[in-house]
Amino acid sequence: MNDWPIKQLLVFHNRVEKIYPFLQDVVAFIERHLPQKADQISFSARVIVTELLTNSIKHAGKGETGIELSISPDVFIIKKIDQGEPFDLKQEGATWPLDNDIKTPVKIYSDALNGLYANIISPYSLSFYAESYPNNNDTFEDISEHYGLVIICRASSSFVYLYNPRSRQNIFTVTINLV
Amino acid sequence: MILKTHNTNQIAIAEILVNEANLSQADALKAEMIVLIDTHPKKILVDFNQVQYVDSTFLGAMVSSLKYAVANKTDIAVMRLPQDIHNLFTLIRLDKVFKIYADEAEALSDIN
Repeated sequence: MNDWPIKQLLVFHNRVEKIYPFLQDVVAFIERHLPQKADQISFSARVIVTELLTNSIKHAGKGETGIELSISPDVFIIKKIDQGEPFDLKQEGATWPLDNDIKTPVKIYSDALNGLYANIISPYSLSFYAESYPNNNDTFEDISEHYGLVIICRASSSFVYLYNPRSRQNIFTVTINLV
Repeated sequence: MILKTHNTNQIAIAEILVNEANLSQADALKAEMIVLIDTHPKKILVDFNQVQYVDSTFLGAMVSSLKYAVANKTDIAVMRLPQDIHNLFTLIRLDKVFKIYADEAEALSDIN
């Protein structure tokens, strides 16, 4: 009988050469605690963690990033906490704290193939989602060169961002449904 | 150098030599692809066979290279993608942008 949730906190030192060994630790956690689901979620977990760590290296400097892995009967949750400036909202008029009354999604970016948007959950929280578009032409001039958040959205069941202005912590919570 | 290249009938085959195709390699990829594109091959085939994992920054560099290639009337395709990397291309729909070949023989047969 398991005591849910099963949790493990891993510390990532924000250096690129540490990514691959860190991914091995994530896979080992999944294989130890979710052997029957390992084939199903290992790819998603690896690409999600890769992008979360890459994001930390790019935006949080040379400090440390905490990654908490958590398994419950229904969900596998990857939570990343690092410190720094809040998520950079490029949409005009969208600034922190967010206006809770805005009911339309915030556009993060879009191109001919993919769109990345976020619903406002609270003044300091967003829920990301990705859209797909038919590619009706062969011109790739406007194709985005930024895929990190789209990868996380597509590989997960939900992807929520929270900023804590007091602690200056960025908290990314990525959920993969197991059932 | 992160690319090892050879040519077959005006087709440049560029093998990625690094196992970890991540943000530390993205600028090098772009720089080496620009040099290769400037030699005006008919097509460039990028070989991912040695790559263990790829991140979004490296994929962004692939797209940036493609834009430069198209502007210079060259095309870029990819081949020998490990299963994870193939899945990642599909996930973010880069399979709509880059033609994916199983191997060099399939690519050369299709191109020629």
